[in-house]
This record gives sequence, C-alpha cells and structure tokens, in this order.
Amino acid sequence: MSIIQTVDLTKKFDAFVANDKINISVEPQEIKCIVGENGAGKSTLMNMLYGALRPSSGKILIEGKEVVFKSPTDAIRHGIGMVHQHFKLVPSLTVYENILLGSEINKTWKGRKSPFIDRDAEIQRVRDLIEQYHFQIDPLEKVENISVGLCQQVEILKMLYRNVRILILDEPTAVLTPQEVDRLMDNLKELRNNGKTIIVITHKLREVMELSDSVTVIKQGKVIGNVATCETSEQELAQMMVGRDVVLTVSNENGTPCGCEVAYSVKDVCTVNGEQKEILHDISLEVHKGEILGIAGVEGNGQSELIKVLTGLMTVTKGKVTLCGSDVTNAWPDELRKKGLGIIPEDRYAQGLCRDMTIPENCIAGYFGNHEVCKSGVLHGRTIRRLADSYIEKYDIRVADPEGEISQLSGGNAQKVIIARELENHPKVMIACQPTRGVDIGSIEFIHKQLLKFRNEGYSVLLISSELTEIMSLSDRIAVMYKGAIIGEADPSVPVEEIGLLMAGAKVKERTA
Amino acid sequence: MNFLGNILYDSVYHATPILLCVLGGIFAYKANVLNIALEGMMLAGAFVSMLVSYLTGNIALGYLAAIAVCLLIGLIFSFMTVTYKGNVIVVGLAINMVVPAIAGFVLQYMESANIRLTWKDVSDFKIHIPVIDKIPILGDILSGHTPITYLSFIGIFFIWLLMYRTKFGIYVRVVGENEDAARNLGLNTNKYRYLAILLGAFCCSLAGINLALERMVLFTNNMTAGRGFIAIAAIYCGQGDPVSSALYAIVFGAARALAVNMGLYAGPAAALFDVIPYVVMGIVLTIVSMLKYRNQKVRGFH
Repeated sequence: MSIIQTVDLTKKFDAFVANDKINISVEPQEIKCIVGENGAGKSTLMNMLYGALRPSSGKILIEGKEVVFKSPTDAIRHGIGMVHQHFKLVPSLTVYENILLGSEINKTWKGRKSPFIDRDAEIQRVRDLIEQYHFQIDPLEKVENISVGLCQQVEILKMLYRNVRILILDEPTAVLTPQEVDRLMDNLKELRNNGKTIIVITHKLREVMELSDSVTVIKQGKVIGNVATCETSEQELAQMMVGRDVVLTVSNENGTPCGCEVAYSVKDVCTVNGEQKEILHDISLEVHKGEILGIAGVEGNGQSELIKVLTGLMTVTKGKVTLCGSDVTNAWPDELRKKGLGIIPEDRYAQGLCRDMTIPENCIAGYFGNHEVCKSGVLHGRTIRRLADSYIEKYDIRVADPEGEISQLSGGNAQKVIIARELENHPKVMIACQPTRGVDIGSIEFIHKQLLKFRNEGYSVLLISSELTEIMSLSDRIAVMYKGAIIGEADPSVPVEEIGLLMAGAKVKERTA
Repeated sequence: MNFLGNILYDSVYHATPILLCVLGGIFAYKANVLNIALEGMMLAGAFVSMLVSYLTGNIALGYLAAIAVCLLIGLIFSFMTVTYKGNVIVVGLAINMVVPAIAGFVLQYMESANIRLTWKDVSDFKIHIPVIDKIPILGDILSGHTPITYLSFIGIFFIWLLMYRTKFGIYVRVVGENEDAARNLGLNTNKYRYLAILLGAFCCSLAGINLALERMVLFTNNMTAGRGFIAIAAIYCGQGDPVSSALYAIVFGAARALAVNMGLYAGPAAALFDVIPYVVMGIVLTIVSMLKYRNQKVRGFH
C-alpha cells in the first residue's frame, strides 16, 4: 500500500489552477523525485502535502486513511516533515537549539518541571541523533557560522528528531557544492535504507537519475508521467518536462579564440573581509576578445568576493583592473557600465532587479542615464515601455502583464530580463555570474545560446559559475578558484576529473593549456 | 573625595531609570519591534504613581496603579502595531505625545505646576545597608538607594536568565530573527510580540515610579527628559544583549551624574553641562558603529 497518496488534488488561486487533479502515490521506503520546470506547480503540491496550503478539492491519504492538515505542525504529527529550499533556521542560535526549537527539554526539579532549559540533556539528545543517522556536525556551533550544506543537515535532523516517516525536500541541491550534493545523496539513501520515505522536488535531472527510485513529471499543474528511474533517461525526462526536445548542453563551436588582444584584465587583485583577513590573494586574469573565460570552483572559495570587486560593490586593497585599456580599479558600477561592462549579477533579486518595481523600470535599471530614456533628468515613460516590449519579444520573456511588477516572473524569465538589459546596452565585456541559477531547462538553453552569440560577435565573457557542466560547455579557457586564489588554468577539453582535482585544491604540475 | 563619591552614587542613581527601560526594551528589540514608546510609558508610570499616591494617600496603590496603566498602554501599543500591523514609529510617537498631553491637562485642572506629597520624604525610600554603608567608595555605590534601584540591577541577571535559559527567551528571539521559522514551528508569533512589549511596559512603569515617586516624591511634566530614547540608544549599542546593553545604560547614567555634579560648580553655565549625556550618547553611538564597520571593504556596508 502507498504510504502517501493524493486523489484528484486540486489547488486554485482565484481563476488560476496551480494544481489540476494531481494523482500521485509514493511507496514506503522509496525515494520519489518530482520534477518539472519552474512554475509547474511542484511547490504548491508540496505545500499542500505538508499543511502550508489547503487544497481546493481532492484528498490526501496516508496509508489509505484520509487526512486533513491545518498547519505544518499537524503534518509533522502525521509523520510528514519538510525541508525547505530557504532554510527556516535561526542564525544566532546553536545547532542543537535549532534542532530542538519548539520541543525544548526543561530541567526538572524535585520531580516537577522548572522553567529553565536543560542544556546538557538537549545536547546529549542531539549528539545521539547525529550518531544514529551518521551525520557529521557539531551541535554547539552557531548556525550563522556553518556552511549551507551543514544548515541543510540541521534542517533534516530537525525533522528526524520529530520522528517523521516521510521527508519532503524542496530543491535540496540548489545551494550545495558538488561535494555536499554527494554527501546529501548518501545521507538520503541511508535514510531510505533506515525505513524513511523521501520525496525530492528538483529540476536537476542528473541528480534525479542518480538518487531516485521513481519519478513523477509535472507540467503546468498536471501530472505528465510516472516512471521508474531505471526505465528512463535524462533526455526523456527533459522532453516530458518541456514538451519538446531540448539540448541539455549547448556545444561550444565556431569559437574563434584569438590569443591576440586583451579586452579585460585583472592584475594582482587582493581584498580583505570585515575582520581584516585577506580573502582574495593576487588574482590575475586576462580575457581576450572573442573569448569566454570560465571561472570554476566550489562555491565559497572567493568567487562572490571576486564578483563584488569586479562589479564595483567592493574595493580592492591592491591590484589593478583594466577594461579595454582604461583603468577601472575601484570604479563604481555605473562607471563600469558606461565604460562597456555588462553585469549579470550573482543573486538576481539582490543585485540585478528590484522586486517591487515594474518590468519596464527594471529594463532600464542601471542604464537610466542613457540619453534615449532620460532627457534632461526626466524619464520618458513611453520610450521605456517600448524598450521593455522589444526586450520581451526579442528574448522570449513570458509575462502575464508586461507593465506589472517584476516579481510575477519565474526565475528563468526574470533572469532573461537581466540578460536582455545587459546585452542590449552593447557592452564590450560581460561578467556573467551564475547566469542560470534557479532557471528552468528551456531558459538555460536560451541563455547559453545568447552568451555564445555574444562571444561569436567578437566580445568577451567572464563566466563565473558553480555549475561545472556550464563552465565546461561554454568556456574557451577555464580558470579554477580555490581558497581565494586562482589555483590553475585548464583547457575545456581536459577530463572533468582533472578540473575536479583543481577544484578540490590539488595543484596539477604539468598542464597542457 | 566626596566629589568622587557623589558622582559614583549619582551614576547608580541616574542609571536606574535608563537601565529599567533598557531591560524592558530588549525583548521588544529582540522580537523585532522597535518600541519608541518607552519614553511615554515611563512618563505615564511617573505621573500615575504620583497622582494616585497623592489622591489616595497610599504609596502602594500608587505603585500598582502605575504598573496597571503602563500595561494598559503596552496593550494598546501591541494591539495597534502587532494585531493591526500599524506603523510602530507612528504609534510609538503618538503614545509619547499623548501621555504628556494628558498629564498636562490634569495638572492644569489641579491648578498646579507639579504634584508633590507633603507627608512623604525622599529619605523614606532609601535603604541603607548596615555594614557596607560605612565603607568609603563601595558604600557610596551600594548603599542608600531605593528598592527599585536594587531591583533593577538584580534585574540584569534575571533578564539574562529569561532571555538565554528559558523557552520564552528563545522563542522571542526566533520570532524576531526568522518569523517564518517561528510560524513553521506553530508558534503564535503575535503572542510573543505582545508578551515582549508588555514586559517592556512593566519595566518602564518601574522606571517611572523610580524617577518620580521614589527619587523626588515629585512629578513635573516631561520629567523623563529623553531617558527612554537614551535607553533605545543603549539597546542598539549593546545589540540587545542584556549585559552589554545594561553596561551602556550605566555609561549614560554616569554621564548624567558627571553633568549634574560638575554643574554644581559651574554657576550660571551649569545648564551647559546638561548636554553632556546627549553628547556622550552621540559619540558612543558613532564610535560603536565605526568599530563595527571599520574594516569593511564592501560598498554600502552590505
């Protein structure tokens, strides 16, 4: 019998049907992946399964019995726990305090409960739990000091402590480094072998193939197909998700890497963090005309700081940055843009777009000084709207209301607004940071093609990404970052293992660059 | 010698109301509610304690009435800002303005510039600790204070205990830091905000009683003179940690003690020294944030 089953589960938001008669069933002790593009309705489904949303109609059955969840706490009581994509942890509390949050153990005094918390007992319980499931984490560490991978372990432990039988994970690998992803998969498989049922929402097909026992594909709020993982392939799943054939990795052909002119150079750049510790050590890079230079590396090895320095959000302590022959060290972002640098920022809503502003307004963000949209300090509304309409058409941005707020867009479409804005202002060099993070497969293909087209027109791209496949398939040369320094350079034709070694910090003595 | 003793005694004396406001404001701060109504609540505590004592001739009733009125104000503040999501600054400001207005009206009605109790003397409230009283310096610091003064300093420890060693403290911090996490746990976030604000109101009522009834047996309108705001500054400097925020409160108390004692020798220029606490506050706030962002290379401190 299925441990959890939905019968015609439907959720409507006004007229919009987010989930349309979803029927899925999950067997005990299996890992079920639910895949679908962004906006397909996966999150809505999960939110109903763990009690954050009430279904409009339909039933949820647990071991054949119908249940109605009023709140997430209700779901936990029925043995369903959820690990969210954005962690619900409290940074200033320790790991053990976070795990026991809401079910603290009080000291007893002469057989009666006292108001004070029994820290020793709490720590011991958490240690036991960590031991039982073979996690590796220090319960006394504060959450603000631990890595994202460990934060996720804390979230999982939080659910395990509450004795859930069914664990739902929403995009669990989105923020993890490749090593952490491997760890997570091992952990999840072990949990399954220990009798837990696991549901994973994702759109990373490689992980689906490696991790799951069965897959359900959702498209536009409907179940498109149920397949056993061993009977399908990445290609087939991608096709089901998008509804057409997709190129999973665009091929980097027609590249004309001429080793001639340097368009962008970074020389001996260093900077320090708030504690005066050096976090970038003598970074030197050269991007030639008509070339994509990829920077690979496990996240957290200084890429974010390098991006900040190169895009004018942080200053250097030493070194020089040159753009097309002019010195742009410590220049502010607007100066950089004027001098011909396009910026696709790392976090699109933190640095790239303003969530509460409209699509046309976001289409001129950073370029509102341009003569055609702004005459004598007054913005020209009609021109801006026309500009936005042309972007929407040219870059195939799917919008419901072209003049509405940008936050209505899915990740992929919001990213396309940034790509359109930056490319249409004709930069000479583009700094593309995580250009396809949180973007659906269809848009990934589109964005990659746009970057290659830009390169083929003779311009340069500095691509910084933690997706190794993206770096490998787009770049003409690859530099690898490790602990705030460029540890080595490689040709994209070298085997993945070699770059993997560099990413892990192993210096390669002989290189064929 | 006596000058130093006076300054030390006065430091404790002047730190008390600020300290109480700090202890009360900390929980609201941690619950992510900026309670600028500390000032108004303190003034209400001062006014009601004196008014009720004056009318009934009973000090204990004065204490109780002040506490009750402050809790009521706290309840109104929470109702408007937590339940109905009103802007905390606007509501806080309204409370800060309405309290002196009401007090002013009552004083006018009584045809008096102030309320004083003729049958009670300041020294009645002072507790002299036998042996310690005779030790120089230490006696100046520790002895001869009012009950609420002692309570406020012991309060630092209790508030610390409440914040770090009980469920209530943890939950208030969770509500303030990650409301989403709190809701996911099934915590009633509004309840913890209410409790945090009410705790603040309670402490402010004590501060008001201390200021008017215990210290001077006198109420004049606007006698709180910005102490509630100084407390907010202390909370921010100490980032809501009970011990460090309390230390800042004592620093600001000491600054006022210095101002008062130096003013005694300054003749006509005495009023000039009154600015000392405020200048010290400005300087301390600037230095604290300078130290915090000293080495930051990120533009806009982000």
